[in-house]
Amino acid sequence: MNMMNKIRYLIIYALLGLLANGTLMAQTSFRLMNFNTRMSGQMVNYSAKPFATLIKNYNPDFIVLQEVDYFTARNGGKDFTTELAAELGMFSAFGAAIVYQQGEYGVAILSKYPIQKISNNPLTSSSADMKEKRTVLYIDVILPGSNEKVRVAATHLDHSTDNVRLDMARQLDSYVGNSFPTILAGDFNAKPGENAVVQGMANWQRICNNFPTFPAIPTSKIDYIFAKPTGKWTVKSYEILKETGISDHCALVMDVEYNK
Amino acid sequence: MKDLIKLIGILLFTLLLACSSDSGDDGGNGGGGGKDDVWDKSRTAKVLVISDLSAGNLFPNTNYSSVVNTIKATEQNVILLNNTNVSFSATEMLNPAAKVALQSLYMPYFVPHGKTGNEYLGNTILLGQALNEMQQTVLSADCWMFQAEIPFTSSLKMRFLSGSFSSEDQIAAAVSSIKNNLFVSTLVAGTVKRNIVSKLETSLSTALTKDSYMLNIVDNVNKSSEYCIYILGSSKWKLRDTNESAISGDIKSFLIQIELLK
Repeated sequence: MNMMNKIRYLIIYALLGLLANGTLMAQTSFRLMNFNTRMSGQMVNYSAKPFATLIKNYNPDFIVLQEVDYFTARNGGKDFTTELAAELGMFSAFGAAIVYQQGEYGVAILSKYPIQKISNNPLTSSSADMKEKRTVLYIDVILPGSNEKVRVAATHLDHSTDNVRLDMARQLDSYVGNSFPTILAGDFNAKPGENAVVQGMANWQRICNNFPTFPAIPTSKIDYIFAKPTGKWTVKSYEILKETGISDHCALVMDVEYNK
Repeated sequence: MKDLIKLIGILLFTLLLACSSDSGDDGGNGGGGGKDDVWDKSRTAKVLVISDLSAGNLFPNTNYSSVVNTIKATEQNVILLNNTNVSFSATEMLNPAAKVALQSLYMPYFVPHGKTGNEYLGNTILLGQALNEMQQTVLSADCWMFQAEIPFTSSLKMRFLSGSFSSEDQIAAAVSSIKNNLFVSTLVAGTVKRNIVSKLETSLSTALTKDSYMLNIVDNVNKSSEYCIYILGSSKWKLRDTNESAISGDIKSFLIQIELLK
């Protein structure tokens, strides 16, 4: 073997070593769970513990939650987000959509990784059909290993009409922006063919299938996971957890990979 | 004609009196030109720091009750729990400050300042309300600086920043960030390793004009503690009082009251 070949082999081995360490790997993988909590545990005496038990079985990196109560009268003046964060040891963010029953009501995100940014943004509509203002909450985290900054977003669109939800979907797209690889999960209260999903989320890659997610024994598809930029995401696994006994929605669990 | 001159004279005199009676109030951007001899408690922010002023974990065990009781018994606007490290493995995490937040009815915001193979090292800010906006500046790989707008009276808000520094590199990055965020309402609180306090002082004096900021190193009973608390802000802030109390073992609470001058 001459000197040039030796150098070539050395370079190849060095590159392989770097790849094995993930230094040059542009892929970023994580597990996300989405769950509408049915009024923060109305089916389980408003306790976060059964949710923590279920979540621990799946060990997600991120948990996106809807129908989250913050010190409301109906849940006995509890902070569901912090209760769940304390049970799981995770970092958390709550985003209020409305003031409700002496407290607040909205969405939440839990993360295994420290949260670098929180932004909670109101969603509304000029239509008289709108029943409730809603919100899109997002967090930015820096994933360990790849050091990739990703944005994780949560929403729950109004249950009134498709036009109202289309307004809200367009607003959330604008709020979330395009700065970072972003995954968004939520209860859209919309079927896959509705304008809120087709037009409102046109800038996003839908990374869940059309199988039903609601109610607990599901017949309707209303919970979704989207990501952007489009064409950069690979779903490694996707599971719909039916009949959990703690909510009228199914939980969604997804292993997803971002390909830079 | 005489009447007109008299009238003008009276008007000028009245104007002069009106101006002179305002002379003690806010003179604009004059660098803390407000009246500061009388403490206006209605313009005062209360920051509660809970720390043992060491590099060690604030919660080496799961006994949180004494800290929770202190939080519940103290009126404040912001709580800084120092070194509330979060341990993790592939399947489990333990976040003591989330438990403290739950028990004391506050919302936790973790501010990292280091990382080991199984721990995020950092502080936790506890607030009485969920934040709609919060951002942390990355000072170095695992050391961030918290920033959010926080109300401290019914009508006043502060731009609250917080970070803990154990190296000169972190201070250099922090001062650069603070320079870009130094507004009238900016108030920064955190801990700094005692042996680099002088670096903090010189970095600030180099980066900022003398009259634009105030820096106070909070005196504590144990003057040889490894870390100390700093309060930094625009020159419109005036440190009014610090109250140090023992909580449990080496853990102490420091209630720091700072007035935003008119």
